[in-house]
Amino acid sequence: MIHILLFLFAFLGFSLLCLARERHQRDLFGRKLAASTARRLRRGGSLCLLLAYPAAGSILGWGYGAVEWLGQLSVGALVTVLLLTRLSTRRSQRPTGA
Amino acid sequence: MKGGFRQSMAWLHTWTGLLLGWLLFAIFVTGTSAYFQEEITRWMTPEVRSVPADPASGFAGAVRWLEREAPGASEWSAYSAGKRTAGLQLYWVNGPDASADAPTEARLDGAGRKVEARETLGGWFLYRFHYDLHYINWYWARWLVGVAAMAMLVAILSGIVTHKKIIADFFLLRFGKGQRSWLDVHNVSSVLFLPFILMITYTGLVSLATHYMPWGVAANYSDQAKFVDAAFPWPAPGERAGAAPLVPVAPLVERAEHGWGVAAGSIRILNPGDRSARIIVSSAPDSSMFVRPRSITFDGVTGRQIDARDPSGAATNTESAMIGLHAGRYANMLLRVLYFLSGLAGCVMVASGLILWTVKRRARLPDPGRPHPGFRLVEKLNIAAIVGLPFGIAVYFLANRLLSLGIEGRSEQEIDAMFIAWGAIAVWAIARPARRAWIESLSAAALAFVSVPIVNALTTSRGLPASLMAGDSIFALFDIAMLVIAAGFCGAAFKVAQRDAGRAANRRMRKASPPATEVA
Repeated sequence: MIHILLFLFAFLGFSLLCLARERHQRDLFGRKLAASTARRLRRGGSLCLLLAYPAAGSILGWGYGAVEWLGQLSVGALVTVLLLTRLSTRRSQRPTGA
Repeated sequence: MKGGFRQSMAWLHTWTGLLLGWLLFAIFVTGTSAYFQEEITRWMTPEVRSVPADPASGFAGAVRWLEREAPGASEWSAYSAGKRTAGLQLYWVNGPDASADAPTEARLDGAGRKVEARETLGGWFLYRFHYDLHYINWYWARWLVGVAAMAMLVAILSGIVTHKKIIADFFLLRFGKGQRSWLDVHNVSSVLFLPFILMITYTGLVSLATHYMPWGVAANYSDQAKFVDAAFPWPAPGERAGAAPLVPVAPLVERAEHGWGVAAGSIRILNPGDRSARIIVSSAPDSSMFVRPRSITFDGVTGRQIDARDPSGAATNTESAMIGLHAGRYANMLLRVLYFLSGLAGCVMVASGLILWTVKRRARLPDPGRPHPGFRLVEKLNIAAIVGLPFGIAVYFLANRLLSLGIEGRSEQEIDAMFIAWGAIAVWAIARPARRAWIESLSAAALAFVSVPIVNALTTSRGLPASLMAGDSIFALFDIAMLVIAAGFCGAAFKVAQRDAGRAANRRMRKASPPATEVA
């Protein structure tokens, strides 16, 4: 259970960080989000990534938890990147197809 | 000059990465496979059908077996094969009246029966290769690996400086854009897995630190053996004092495990069956992140505790945990998979870096049809390193199933088969035009990996359908992993073929617009 939770934390955290970047906002929504929204997304994303560590440490032990936390962060980031790549290419193909 | 520092870092990154990249790739591939070392060994010894047993009763069974088969020995030892593999490896030192060619080792399965399996080094060979290499003296091999690891550390740090801007853009991964895509893949694999990649390189150096920097030891101990004695004591059997029955070992093992809170991994019994008998129980190296075992010495007749060793002290503990972190023996299955994925990311990082070197330079060649010899050499070495080793590993698995069982030096022949296959890809890469060689060697690798489960099904009773039916997860997942790898190589071969088909058209287009400049 904690493993799934850690992955979700990592995935959500990186997704929010990704959405906070102007370039990806354009890729995904076709427009730039307000600066305050971007700031909130960035803070929320960082918070998710950071909170995952105490969650992992308190259940799995601080040493083991740290290793799994870092491993899950990598996988969460990878899934975010792959998803972003997929969604942005689909979006960029849509206008040319129409 | 403003760009001076970054320029020089970029130079350092390019050249340390290229010169040692081929060796690093081999280290990364075999090291990554070592996270499933026990599973590979089990697949490579299909005769062994292990049933799990708890350590205490396993060790008791081992003692019963040794009492029967090696009664006159001055020393017995039994090592657990690891928590994911039931079974014990036994060694003994024969007494003076035993014949010189009497056996001194045996393997027991989880039920305490002697294992008669094909002679193979299994996953252990791949693990060993990742720091001792093969065919060359291990002393120099470790130096070579150390230089590669150091170069890796330099390449990582200079890479972080060089690609500072790209790290900020680390969500970017664009496919189908030539050099841009290779750079993205190189970045994504290294930046996303940076904690692992830094950790594995640094702890790898630490695990062989006394090999690279013997001066600390040399300053404090008159020779290396004295240091080993002090750091990792290894008591020898004492004078024999007259026959006395050995105390049952299972309660002692349980007592030790209870005291540590972790499983026992090995026992040594000195002078079994004598009044001077000693039983040394040690904790399992895979029971926690600290790999250096704790041990308790018991009197072999009374069962009284004589001595306990708990390697502590900040330096020992740090070293112990770093090696533990590197080898990941303590990890459960999920964390093991994360380790494995991170290792694969490391392989992708090194391979994409090597390929990037050629991709970047091909665009700048005066005549892409006739590249200069240095470029051709790198291109061919890339094929030999990146495709050759995986192909060799597939052939290593195939040789395990195809070589006849009784032949002399069988395990060494499996290893020879791997290097012959690897060399064959290298020769092929040299003999053929690079683009054809990529497609052909990638196809050969796909074919070799897809043959592994097929040959397994034909030569053993534990093929994929049978292991799926029997719920034999290790065998089933191994075969499935081979198919997935084969699909990966097949996909890569198609991709290269497709790119070649489109290249002629691209070149015509590129002539119209000047090539984009990149900082990397």
